[in-house]
Amino acid sequence: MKTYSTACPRNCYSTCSIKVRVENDRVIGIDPHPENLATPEGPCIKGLAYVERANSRERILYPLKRIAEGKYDRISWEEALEIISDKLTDCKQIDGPHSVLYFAASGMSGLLNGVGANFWKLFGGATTCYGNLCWPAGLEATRLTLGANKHNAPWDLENAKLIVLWGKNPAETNIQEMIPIEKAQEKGAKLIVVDPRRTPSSERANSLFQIQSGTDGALALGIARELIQNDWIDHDFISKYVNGFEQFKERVETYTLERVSEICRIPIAAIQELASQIGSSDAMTLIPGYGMQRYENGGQTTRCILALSVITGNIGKAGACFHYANLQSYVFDDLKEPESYFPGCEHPSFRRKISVAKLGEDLLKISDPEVKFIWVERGNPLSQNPDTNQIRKAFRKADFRVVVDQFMTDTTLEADLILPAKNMFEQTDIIGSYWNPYVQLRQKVMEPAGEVKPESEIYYLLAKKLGFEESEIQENIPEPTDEAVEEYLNGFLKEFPELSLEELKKRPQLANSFEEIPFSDHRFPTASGKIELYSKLAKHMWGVDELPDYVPLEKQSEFQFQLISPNSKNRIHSQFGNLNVIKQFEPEAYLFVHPLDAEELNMKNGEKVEMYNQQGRAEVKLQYDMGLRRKNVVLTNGHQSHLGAAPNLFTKGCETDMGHGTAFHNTWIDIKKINNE
Amino acid sequence: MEKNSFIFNTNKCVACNACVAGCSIENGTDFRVNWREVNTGNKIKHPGLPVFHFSLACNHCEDAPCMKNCPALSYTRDEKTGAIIHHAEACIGCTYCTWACPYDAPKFNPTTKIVEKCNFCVDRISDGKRPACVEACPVGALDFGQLALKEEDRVTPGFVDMGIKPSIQLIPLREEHSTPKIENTDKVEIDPKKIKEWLPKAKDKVALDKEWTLVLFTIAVAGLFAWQAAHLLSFLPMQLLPFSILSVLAIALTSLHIGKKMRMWRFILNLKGSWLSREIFSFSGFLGLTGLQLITGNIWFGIAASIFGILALISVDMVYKLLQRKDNLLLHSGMVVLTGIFFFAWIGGISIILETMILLKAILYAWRKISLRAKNITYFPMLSLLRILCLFIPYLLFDLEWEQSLAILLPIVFVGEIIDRAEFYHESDVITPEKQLRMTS
Repeated sequence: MKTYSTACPRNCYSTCSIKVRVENDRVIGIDPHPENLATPEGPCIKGLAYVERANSRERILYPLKRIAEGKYDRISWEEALEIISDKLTDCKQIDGPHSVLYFAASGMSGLLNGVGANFWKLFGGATTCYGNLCWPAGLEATRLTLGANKHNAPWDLENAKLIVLWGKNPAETNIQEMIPIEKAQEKGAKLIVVDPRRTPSSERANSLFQIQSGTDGALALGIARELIQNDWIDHDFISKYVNGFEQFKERVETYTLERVSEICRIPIAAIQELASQIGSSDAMTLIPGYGMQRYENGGQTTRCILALSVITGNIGKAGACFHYANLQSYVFDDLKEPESYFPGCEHPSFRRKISVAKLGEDLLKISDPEVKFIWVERGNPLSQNPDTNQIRKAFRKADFRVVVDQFMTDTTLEADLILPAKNMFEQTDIIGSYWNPYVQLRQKVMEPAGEVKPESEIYYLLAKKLGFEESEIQENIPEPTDEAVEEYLNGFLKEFPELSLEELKKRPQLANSFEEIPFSDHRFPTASGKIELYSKLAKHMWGVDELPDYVPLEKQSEFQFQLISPNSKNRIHSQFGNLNVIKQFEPEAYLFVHPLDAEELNMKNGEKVEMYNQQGRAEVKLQYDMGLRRKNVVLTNGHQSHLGAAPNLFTKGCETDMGHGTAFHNTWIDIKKINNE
Repeated sequence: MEKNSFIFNTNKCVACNACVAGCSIENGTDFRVNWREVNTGNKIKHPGLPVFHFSLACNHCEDAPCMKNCPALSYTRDEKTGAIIHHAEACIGCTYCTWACPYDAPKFNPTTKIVEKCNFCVDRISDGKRPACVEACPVGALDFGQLALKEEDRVTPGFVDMGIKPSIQLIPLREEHSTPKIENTDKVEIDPKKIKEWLPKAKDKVALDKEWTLVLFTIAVAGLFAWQAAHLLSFLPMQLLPFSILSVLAIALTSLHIGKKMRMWRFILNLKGSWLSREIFSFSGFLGLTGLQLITGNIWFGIAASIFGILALISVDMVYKLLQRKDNLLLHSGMVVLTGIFFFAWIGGISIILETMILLKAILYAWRKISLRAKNITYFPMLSLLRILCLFIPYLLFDLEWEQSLAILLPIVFVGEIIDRAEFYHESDVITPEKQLRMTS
């Protein structure tokens, strides 16, 4: 038996360092890696689930060719590559390279993912997506205000005197954050949660402000007004480091207690209480989640909330920061998020872009050339992008679809050809994290199972098959050997003498640029060098107000229930849900409904009901949840429609107000009884 | 004295279930038979109460009831670590330990047909490592250490302390953080009765659909004893063949209830500690001695058989002592000691005993029903009426010196007793963490 240091490469805050036990080329155990100070006690249940995931009999181990709906035959790599290269050659000759859609998502992080882009560049380009499904509105709001997305080290949270979880539920989505929260609470810190749901994280909170979803901006401005009126602000900090305070002060004037109470649906006294807590604390860490910014007003909402940290001077101090995203470990990126999401930022061969938020609509609309060939890797757009039915239609309109994945998904079920994807144990790569500050090695610990080939090898073979120039292949795509992969990675490490593969193989590492408490020098990389509450750039780039503002969401009256689709502790998006270790706790999708709402519809706990709106329908089991606001229903993210209900059957494709994010969450549905007779 | 203990901090656990997965990976258990489980209080999120969790497996109690009550001696204590170890090869799958444990630690595996449970990761802790579940906890809520535990270490709502000295320290919720103050203009007051209605039903460990064989078996014990005793006193003839057939049926009924039928002989290994062993032993002795009595005609065998029969009746009632009764009453009209005497009085036609027993049973029956009703527990009034009729009508007919024989009256009596005994199972249950937590909400 051998033990390796590695890290979990999922799209998750925690990005845990783990130790993996391997015996006879099989993963047999996952252990904590205490050298990562952010995840010292080890990974969550999903991390432990790798033992099953790596050895699962359901894994796709060979290239598969579709022979009928849902039916696939095993074929050889030779045949698979032949088919793909024929199709690609046709596409390129007839309609040009942009008749190919290269769609890659966040399924597995790593620097080698760049090989995909290199390949398609050599191919002559491809249609790709701009924007991102997750967090750009908040990233952009933070970038516009502070100049950069970084926050205090996760372990600094224990120094906070007041912790505000604003729409974040770390107990399920960033479980190790609960460690410093508990430490802070043990030392007497107060914990406040703002969330439309009573979440597991809110259980240990002093107060839960259960506001109407989408109204967070109004609450923040209402609190700001109270802070200013009661003079609970940091004048010194504001005068030295903040631009636009006077205008902001004027802006919040109209957000009176009465108005905000009416908009957010919480009592006036509660707003006063919240403001006085924030105003009286000298070390507040404000932790917004990502869900709240996935609305059409998400960017402006984040700017409003961030303003609270700014005017109280809770930036750049121990225990005090705006804890949104920490991109300090992304040291290898030339262009950081969110700017890397904006169209036009990449190589000209990728000039043809469609919106990831409107994938279905844009794909159907796009012409000259139309997209004929779709390549999907590290993603499951059929369940994870908004408006599943539209995307399905668009996928079916194309002539040929290749999906690279480890398991069958909603998307592989649309594929003509499925290629087996490597798992995290089968190829070495370097990964970062957007919460903990470490650069980590996701280490190869075993040979790929079955006939699995890492994507970089697939591209290498395809490049050969398509007859790309030998020298160009050599420059852009590593040969399929462990040595070549390490050499490719060393190319990135060159500029960082403090980081080496040698060391990374043993433990996570910090780059020299790491700051435990960023902005403690009060240097803000904005145009003015100050924190910009007033941002001309915001108006210029996104057409929003120069000041943070609450922009009410579009109202609708057709459907009764607002569908909230938060992330669950049991999955990372649509990953892990297929494993037995997870299924034992969540065997199927449930729709959580307040029992009073259910009773009005004459529905009982456990009953199968139909949920529907103008875009889709699904059948799902109902479960009572008294922790919901009335008329809010919850279906957690990551369920797949081929297994029952999935939230994106109901979401509409639209972008956030800034950053080209995806506004999933202003989604409304109705529920009705299923007539079983 | 310091001993190996789990330490569970209620403030830290968020019910991620990593401990459950860590355990099942380490021990290679089936997902349907998790040795560790996370139990949640207030699952439905009643606004006035906290939602909290207990991650529990075996607590390796000093006075382990599983070990004490196991008839087959399949539990031992590892002296070095204090771990209570279950030995698969010795287990007969009778599931009596699953009734005895208030922490739901022993689990019956329907595939292997025996019980299994947490072994404290005895190999790991012997090597100085922590148990796998503790190692797996990502937030440090579940810990392990050598502690001199006191009673106050276990005082937290929802956790039963029956004085069996479990090796666990529970750190309760901090007072000021126990329930968040919820701000929401649209929240409405909800009738507590409604909330009770909405609560999901907890799983019943003792349920009639599983235990009907035991209903019949325990009635058979009472019936066979009554018959044998009546025969001994020459009230009623008894032949070897029908007696043997009934005996074989009774044994077949018990065997239906155990997982490993070929190991049934192990049932009587724990006469010292387990009433279940005593029950099987005394009942077997009763059957054997009665057989000898019938074959040899020797009255001494008969007397010995009767003594064993009485012991069997007492043992049966003692076996069920560890169950929780919904009525919380000490005596039950369906107790087999009473039923045995009652049958005997019927067969022997001994009026004074019969009248006393009818009266006693009727009073106990009514008392129970009244107390169930007072507790708002369903008490099936129509069934009760039938049961009472089955008690009195045969006696009335008998008293009127109705010409019909016992062959008509006794079946009616039996129906009444079966109803009573079936209700006994329906109204009994085992303490489980799930139920305890449900009640705190």
